Amino acid sequence: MKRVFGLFLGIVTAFGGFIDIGDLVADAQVGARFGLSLAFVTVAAVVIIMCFAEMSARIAIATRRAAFDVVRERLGPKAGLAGLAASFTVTAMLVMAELSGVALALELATSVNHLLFIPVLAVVAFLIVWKLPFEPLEIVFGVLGLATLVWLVAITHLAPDWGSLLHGATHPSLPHGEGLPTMLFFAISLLGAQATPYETFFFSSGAVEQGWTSKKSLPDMRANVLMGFPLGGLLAIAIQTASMLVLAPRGISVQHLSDSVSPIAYSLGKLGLAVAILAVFAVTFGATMETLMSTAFITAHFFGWSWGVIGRQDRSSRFYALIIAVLVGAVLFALTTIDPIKVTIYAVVLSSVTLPVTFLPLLIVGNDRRVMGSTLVNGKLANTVGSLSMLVVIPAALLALPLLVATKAGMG
Amino acid sequence: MVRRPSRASATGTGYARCQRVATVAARAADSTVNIAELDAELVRDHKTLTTELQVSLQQAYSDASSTLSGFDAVLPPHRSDVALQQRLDSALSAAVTLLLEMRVRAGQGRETELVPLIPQLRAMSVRLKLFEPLA
Repeated sequence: MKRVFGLFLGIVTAFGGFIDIGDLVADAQVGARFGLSLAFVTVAAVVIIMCFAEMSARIAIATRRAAFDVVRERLGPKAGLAGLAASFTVTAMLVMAELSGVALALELATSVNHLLFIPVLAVVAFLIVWKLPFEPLEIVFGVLGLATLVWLVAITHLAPDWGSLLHGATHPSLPHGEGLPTMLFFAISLLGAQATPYETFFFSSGAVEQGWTSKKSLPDMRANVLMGFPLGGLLAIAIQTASMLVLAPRGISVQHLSDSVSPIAYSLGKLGLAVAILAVFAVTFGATMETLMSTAFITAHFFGWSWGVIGRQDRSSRFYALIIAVLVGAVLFALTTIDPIKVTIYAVVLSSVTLPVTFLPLLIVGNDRRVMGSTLVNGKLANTVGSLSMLVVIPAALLALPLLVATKAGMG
Repeated sequence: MVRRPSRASATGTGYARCQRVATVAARAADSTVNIAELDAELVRDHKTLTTELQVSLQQAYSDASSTLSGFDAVLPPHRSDVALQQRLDSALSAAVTLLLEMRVRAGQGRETELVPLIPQLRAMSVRLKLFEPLA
């Protein structure tokens, strides 16, 4: 019973971890502008993130070390440093975006300007990292993140023509008035939002912290990956669907977080809206903690610093100093009054740029029999999916920045 | 030697650009007006929270204002563009005024007074859509 409960919590955490501010914004934008024509990108992103999250956790199980540490050792410091710089930059941008997402959720609940919440939230985030064990909090935010199921309830309540939805998802088309470059840009944004590098790092660090150091941990780990991420993907498609059903017919293009939750109010009224705001708060706060700790984890793994563990903070001064620096940077950046939704869009696009430098090293290490051993080394399935993923993420990475400029971040 | 474009072609490019800017501005403003209309309908159906409504209308007003100022910053390159610029400027200004009124009413707790504005919002959306065929 205890194991089943633990498995449930793991799946819930992976599910909650899949949805963050990037998904809330990108999915709502895509649904409002392209309907379900880009749902296949979500399916591809789920397969890709499942493949590499499983691989990074398997590396952690085989080596009893986090993936970034092993990658640096196997590929050398230069290649490792390039990956670290890229991943750190994107994840630090996401810290600011997620922190703003929490503040925007509070703004929706109170109508107090979100900028007033940001410094307070940064202090709270630091106190949590400093004083509280993260695992129970991760579970709390994961369970609260189940409130995102309100999107599924909302589309059911709207009673759409399911056959027509399925047809739209399986027959992608370019809507009238939209250009192919814009559609490609949003496809890449979606990929970057849903296959974010920090998810693999965090999964790997979590595997080490949870003591997944024997092959007996493989079934639990795979259950988390194989159920948590697809459920997250399903929810992402539900957000796209809700936007398509309510916002697209009215010609509304999503510019703010409040636009993402409007379809819930339309379908379910005040109670649904309150649950949606709670869901946004939970997933963005959970993601704030994950991205914040990921920036510190990957740097600590790379340079061999001591990690922050409750009760041993005095031995992890560099780890905590980095967390403070990232938080201060995020707060100062946010207080420039820059639009957090724009930052989110840029962050998810940059995330897609960094995917090859994050995933390719994992594929190389996962194939190294000396590191992985004969039983944990990549099998045919992992190698096939991993290699096919490269055929998607490399062109996406090359096209991301030119399309960002050419389409004015999808607004052109 | 660098060949300069002829005056006619330069003007043609400028005219097309002015049309494109007008279309993008009209489409952005229309989206904003439609959000406000959805908000008003949610008030009518008792489906929204006051706090969320205030934030949404504040953002709608702010977006429309920045669309207007962004459009006004582009000078029409040709005399024939001036009429287009004036027509859209008038429509955008009317949209900003309407959204300001909505924002004020919501801010003062007079949400129910948003409902009578729904026909005006629909008319405004129709007016802005007239610039769509320019795409």
